[in-house]
Amino acid sequence: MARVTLDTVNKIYPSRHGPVHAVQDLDITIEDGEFVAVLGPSGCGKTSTLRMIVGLETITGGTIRFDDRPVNELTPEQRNVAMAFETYALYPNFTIAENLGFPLEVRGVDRKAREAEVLRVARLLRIEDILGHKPAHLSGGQQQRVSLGRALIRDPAVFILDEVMSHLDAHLKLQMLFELKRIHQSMGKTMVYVTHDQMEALALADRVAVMSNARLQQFGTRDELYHAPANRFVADFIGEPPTNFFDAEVTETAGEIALAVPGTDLAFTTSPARVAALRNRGGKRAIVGIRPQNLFITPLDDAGSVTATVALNEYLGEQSILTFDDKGVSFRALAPPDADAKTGATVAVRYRPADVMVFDTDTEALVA
Amino acid sequence: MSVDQLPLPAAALDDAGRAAAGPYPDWFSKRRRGRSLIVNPLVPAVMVGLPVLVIIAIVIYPTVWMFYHAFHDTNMMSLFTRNWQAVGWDNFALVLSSDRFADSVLHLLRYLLFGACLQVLLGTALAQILYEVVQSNALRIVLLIVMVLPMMLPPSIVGVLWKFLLQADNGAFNHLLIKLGMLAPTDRIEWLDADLALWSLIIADVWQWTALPLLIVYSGRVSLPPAIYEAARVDGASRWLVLRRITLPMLKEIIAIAFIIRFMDAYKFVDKVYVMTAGGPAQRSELPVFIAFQKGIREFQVGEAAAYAIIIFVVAAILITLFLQYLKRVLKAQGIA
Repeated sequence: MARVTLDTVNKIYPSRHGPVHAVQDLDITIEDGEFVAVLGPSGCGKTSTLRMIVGLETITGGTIRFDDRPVNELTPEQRNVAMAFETYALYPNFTIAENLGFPLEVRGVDRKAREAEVLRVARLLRIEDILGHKPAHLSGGQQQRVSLGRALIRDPAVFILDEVMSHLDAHLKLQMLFELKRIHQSMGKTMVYVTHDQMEALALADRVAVMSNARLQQFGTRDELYHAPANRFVADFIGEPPTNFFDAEVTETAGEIALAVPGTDLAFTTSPARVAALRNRGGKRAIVGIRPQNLFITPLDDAGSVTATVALNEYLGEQSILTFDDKGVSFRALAPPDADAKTGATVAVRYRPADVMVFDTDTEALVA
Repeated sequence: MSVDQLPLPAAALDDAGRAAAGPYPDWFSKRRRGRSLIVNPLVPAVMVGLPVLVIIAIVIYPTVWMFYHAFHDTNMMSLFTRNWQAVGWDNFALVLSSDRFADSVLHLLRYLLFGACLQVLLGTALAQILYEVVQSNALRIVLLIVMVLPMMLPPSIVGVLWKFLLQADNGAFNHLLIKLGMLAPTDRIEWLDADLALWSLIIADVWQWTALPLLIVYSGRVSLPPAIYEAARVDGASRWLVLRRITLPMLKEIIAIAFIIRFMDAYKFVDKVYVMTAGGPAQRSELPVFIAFQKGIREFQVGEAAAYAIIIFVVAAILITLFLQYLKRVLKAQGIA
């Protein structure tokens, strides 16, 4: 078990078109026993980060420490990390039992003890019945569990899981998420989980590190990511459907600050704290962000609402996604399936000022 | 699926099967294409018939002829006078009981063991070194080219080359040994002498053909998924353990295929024997195929040569059947067939 510290870690790959900065000044501290997800779109540097933690990739700059010991120069074996791979990476010529037992075989554990351990892990992952098979004969879900099992059979300092669910179907994924959570709770090991799927990250992790363009955007709990996203990227990436953004003008009438979207009738007010921050910041423009979940349809004569025309009503079963159009500016809201909002209808949309997020137009960082 | 099996969209053919205006142009219509190719009903008959005739003339007739004469005492005289006598299995008995044949089989076994096996072993080792030890990609390519070059030479030329190199008195090989101090300046190794002739053949053949198993095994090694090796690194396996437990077992089938290819070549190995030693001295480097060639083409002992050929053919057929069964099992295990 270990606390993992990444101290201004950089990764630069040489390439034919000049060096590629894959990871830039990454600072993360993963506490002992914590479950951390690294989340980001493809090519954001999350897999490079993870391979540097494992020791499969050299570190161009910065230091990685396990507890207080720098591990930059150590091999994966010396770091004592266990990893489950996106492509499973099972040894095709071994049976499942041999695959699971290989890390122990390498360490010279005798056959008897090895078989007992293999059986224990197989029970944990419910794969006792396929121990005699070769990997080629298993389904993706089974191979994935074997790959997890090969990591779990050891007693490593850190578990590293690289996109381990990306090849599973939705049903199996839910089941594996639950099992992974259960395994983490029963073992209490430090786990780092890399994914591009926010649902997996938010469901599993104690804290999530959101990466984009080789940089860490935000590292926090799911509440922090959801309610106080550090910048526009995080607000956009976390949440489904994505947050609505408006380029707004900061207007002040009779001491009240409002954010009006030019060319439309849309105008938002925000929480007192953000109003104060806006006053401090000055400036004429800002980006308004509001999640579709936080927009509600109300009767037309409701004060404090904005009116908009329904352009599209996507019925998804448990809820509908309404797309509104107001003079060329479109935005979306979630509504109960029985909401009275036919295409073309004009409805009132209500929001809580506290849910209105404000971002700086230039830096795209959150204003308060 | 060939083009004519592709389902045509409804608009391309009308009810009568004629091409209609549709998404595809006219030439997709089966009827039109058929008419334009088969001008005369004789065309298909001639196009199939000619190759069949050629095959009968150069394969089937000589084979039947060979089987016929294997049971007759045909030699040069009786071929001219056309009076050969049926002798039953005498030719086979003669071949199988002769010391010359038994010796040649021993030579073949020795040649297979030290020639073909050595080539595959060396090739596998070199492929592993090329992949694991050589780091620079450019150097790797240069080494590959250098090692493959001998394979590009005609075997008879290689035979002549090595015959020169291995000359006892002024050959480069003995000269090299003397320069290296491994041989006294007045000594000579008689490479093409009775004791060493077969070994010289093996040396020349290994020099020429080691690159083939090397290429096959190297390409197999390149295609193994890198993630498995990363997993092994994380699991903490040593290089030796990875080689023994992962790489070699995964390359097992490919190495076997390389061996089969080398075996088939070795089985019909005759060119270098002919050029370098002519089977000698004193028939000490003869292989069965070479004897069959000598008997049939040089001495016109057609009956005996045919018996040789049939024995060689039967053994080859049995071995190839075994190999094919092995290949089939391998492909099935990998889910290909």
